[in-house]
Amino acid sequence: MSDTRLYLVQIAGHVSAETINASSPIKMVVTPKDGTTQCIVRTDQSGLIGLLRYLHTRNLVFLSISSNLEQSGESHVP
Amino acid sequence: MLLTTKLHQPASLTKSVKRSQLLQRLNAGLESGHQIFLVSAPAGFGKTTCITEWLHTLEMPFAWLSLDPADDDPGRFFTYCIAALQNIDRRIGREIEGILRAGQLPPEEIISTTLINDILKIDGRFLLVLDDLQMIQDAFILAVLEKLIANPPEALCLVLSTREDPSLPLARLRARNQLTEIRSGDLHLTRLETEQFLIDVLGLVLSQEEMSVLEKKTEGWAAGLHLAGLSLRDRSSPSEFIARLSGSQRFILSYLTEEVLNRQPEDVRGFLLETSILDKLSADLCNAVTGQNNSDSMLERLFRGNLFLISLDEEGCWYRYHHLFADLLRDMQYRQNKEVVVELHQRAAHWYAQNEMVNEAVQHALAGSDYETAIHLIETHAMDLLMQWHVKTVEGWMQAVPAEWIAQSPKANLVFAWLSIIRGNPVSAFPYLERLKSLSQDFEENPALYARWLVLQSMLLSAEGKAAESLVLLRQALEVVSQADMLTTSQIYLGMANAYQQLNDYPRALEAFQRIMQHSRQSGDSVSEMLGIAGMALFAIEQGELHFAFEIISAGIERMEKLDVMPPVSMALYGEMGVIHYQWHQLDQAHENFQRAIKVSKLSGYADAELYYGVILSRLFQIAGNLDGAIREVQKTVDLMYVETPSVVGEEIIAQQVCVSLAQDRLAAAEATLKSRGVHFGQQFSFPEFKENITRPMGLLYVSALRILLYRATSRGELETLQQGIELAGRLIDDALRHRYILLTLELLLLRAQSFAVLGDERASRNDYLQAIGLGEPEGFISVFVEAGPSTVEALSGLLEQFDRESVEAEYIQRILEAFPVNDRPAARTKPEADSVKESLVVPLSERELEILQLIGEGLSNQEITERLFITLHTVKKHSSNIYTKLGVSSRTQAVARARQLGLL
Repeated sequence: MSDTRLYLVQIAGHVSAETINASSPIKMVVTPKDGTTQCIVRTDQSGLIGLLRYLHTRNLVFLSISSNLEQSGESHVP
Repeated sequence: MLLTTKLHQPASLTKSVKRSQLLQRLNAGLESGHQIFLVSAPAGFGKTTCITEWLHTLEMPFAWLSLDPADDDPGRFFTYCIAALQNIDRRIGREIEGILRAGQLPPEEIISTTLINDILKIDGRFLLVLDDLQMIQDAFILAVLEKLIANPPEALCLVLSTREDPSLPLARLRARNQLTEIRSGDLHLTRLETEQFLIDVLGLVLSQEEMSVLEKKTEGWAAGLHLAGLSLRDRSSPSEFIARLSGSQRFILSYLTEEVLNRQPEDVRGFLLETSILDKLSADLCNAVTGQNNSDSMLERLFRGNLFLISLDEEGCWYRYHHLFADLLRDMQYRQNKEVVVELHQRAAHWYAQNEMVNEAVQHALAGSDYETAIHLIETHAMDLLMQWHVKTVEGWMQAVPAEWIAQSPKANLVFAWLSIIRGNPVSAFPYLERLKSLSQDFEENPALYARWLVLQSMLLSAEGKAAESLVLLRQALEVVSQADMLTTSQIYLGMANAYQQLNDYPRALEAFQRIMQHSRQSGDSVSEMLGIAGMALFAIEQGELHFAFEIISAGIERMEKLDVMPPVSMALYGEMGVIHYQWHQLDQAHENFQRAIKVSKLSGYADAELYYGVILSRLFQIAGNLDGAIREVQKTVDLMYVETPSVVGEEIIAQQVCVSLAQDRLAAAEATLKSRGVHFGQQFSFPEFKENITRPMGLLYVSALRILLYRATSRGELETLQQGIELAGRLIDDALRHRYILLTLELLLLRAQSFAVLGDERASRNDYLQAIGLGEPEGFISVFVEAGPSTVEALSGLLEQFDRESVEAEYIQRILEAFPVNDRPAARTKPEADSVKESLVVPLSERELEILQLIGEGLSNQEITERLFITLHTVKKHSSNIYTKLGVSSRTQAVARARQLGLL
């Protein structure tokens, strides 16, 4: 619960990094991918919950949330 | 009623572990100038304990606010937030507090700006702790917090304690290294801290090995360690017990809570489970819920036994369970005694209702499915809370009550109808009003309800512009309403006054305002009384009865200031007081009152009033000889004007735009301004057809047109259209006099007098001036003459010869002449211009005095100057006094005029 992890949050549509990070509680690495936006963030569970609520209140649609990026070997580290 | 326990930092254990590393990090943040401190971790990690421990080590003052779900309502949140801040300094948020108390919610930018400005006045840093910030999700509240975080005043250090990161732009602060952050990973107890906790705080005797295993199993999680420690007390084989602990934190917690409970005596276990339904505990409340009479000693026993009980005040009256512990107790209670839970909630609801803690009573009634009690409480209290702008709270209740219960309650439907109106959606009120009517088939049995229904229906009709139909309903309401129902009676009279105003029936509107005043004074309804005073005074001013208006407004302001509330209507009182002083040419007092009116308008979010008083401020600057200030102020109002600005405000702006344009010799701009209102100049002068029963906005339009005609005649020699204007003025004057609109009559008479003079008809001109003197003298109108411009000086000086020097008229004319800007006065006009320009001061102004003079010239009040220059009010006054002495003047307006004359501005 208190460990920090690398989370990948996938959002429907394209959102710019400036827009999404302008007033976010935690900075995300934002990249567009196939009509979606991938947000990568390293945080703990309190940070993740706060971030999801922040995105939700901006009417963004979540497509997936995953946290096994490091094991999968993908290079996402901000 | 404010719960003071929310403003007190909780105290749990008599002894606690010193978290030196965390304190060092927090202190380092303070030392490096950080103003935002985030403590973010799930429940049970010791956030609150960490912060309270930190506060005890600091010498800095701090304010505390414990948040709960009900605080996610802007009205309630800011009431508590300001109360917390006032523990630091009583001055913080005083104005917003007055507005909130009067049932209004200022716009978010006004709340944030006012709080920031108020905190800027505080010397020395202080901390504001918002505990359990995860309760706050309301966008309005977060927007204000965002502004506070973006521009924190130097004195403020904001400590945010939360289970989840708030939707605030903290990433930006983190990137700039302006944020001190304590997260769950930091809050884990270290091995040493675990030892201290188990040995020093809980008094356990464990081996190093046992402590090491326990630390690993609980991962240094404070709540888990605490429960484990309680379970280990008096246990013969701690190693065995510790070895059995396994699984997730939640599992360990449930397991340990059951262990702790099972080890308690029966009476303690029963008490813990039964009282777990309560968010806050007092002995009296616990007695009511448990049916026991020993809760006082039981609470004391739990507190001393470290059983997750947290004290909420210094007196030891109110406690709460640790949130996590309470959640688990409630789960167990629900699983073991589901049927009892409902009854416990019902008992709590009755206790809270008896003790007038309405929100808590409703919440427990709802939790206990006691909808009868919930509906009764809503029916009794919802309207009062709505009038105090606790809209979200009431909405929350209404949504929680099953629809079938709402459908049966006429009063609940009335509340829903009000909610629709307050939310700016009057159309959606109709179904509720229809249902209310169908539920109350026989309104005769409930005249109070009928009266309220009629008032709401009349408001909806009035909003549609159907004033006559609205009046019919209001008259019916007046017949059935009980005199004891003060709120409804005031609403009826206010509705009538508004409807009569819409119908231009001023005598009856005036009568309605008088009734409001009488009724509300008897009933002690001060806000309605102020509304009555403001409405009546406005009439008196239009009718030229300045002294009468002054008397009633003075009394109104005095009463309002004594009551310590600042309802939005206070802007009308200050504004009207400003108008009276303006007409008497007491420009400093007028300026001060306009500033206050504009400030309250901003605080209350009333843009129209802000525009209205802003434009009169522009007129004030213009007659004081400060054309730049006049241009700036009128431009501000033009920028803020919107499509649906009411004509009573819009025509004032247009009229002043025309004045300012002509003063700058921008004839085309002045004409273009009036073109939008259907007035055209050129070969032919055309204007909207004049109908009888002139109103102030229409009158202003014609006054502006006449002003342009006069300008064209004097600058271009166009005399034909001026003749047309004189004829129009004649008809207007007759109509205005018939209605006793003295101010408008004076404006028209002076314009016609000037027009006659341009056409060479000196006799007619003189007659108009004489009539204006006769009309203006009894109530002391001065500024309307100054507005007419320099040509009036000559004309009035000529009239002086006609009167005995000691006569009332001569004295009055003399006062008018002295009110003109220095350059326009007869003496100044004869003085060679070169002399006045070369004139210099005997004692020159200092740099600071020049700086302050500049700000006075920009129209800033003394208070605003203190904020701009970061100096005290006393210092500003001292500098101002020196400036006046050196310039040889006695007021700020004179100072500005004199400074311009000397080329200092």
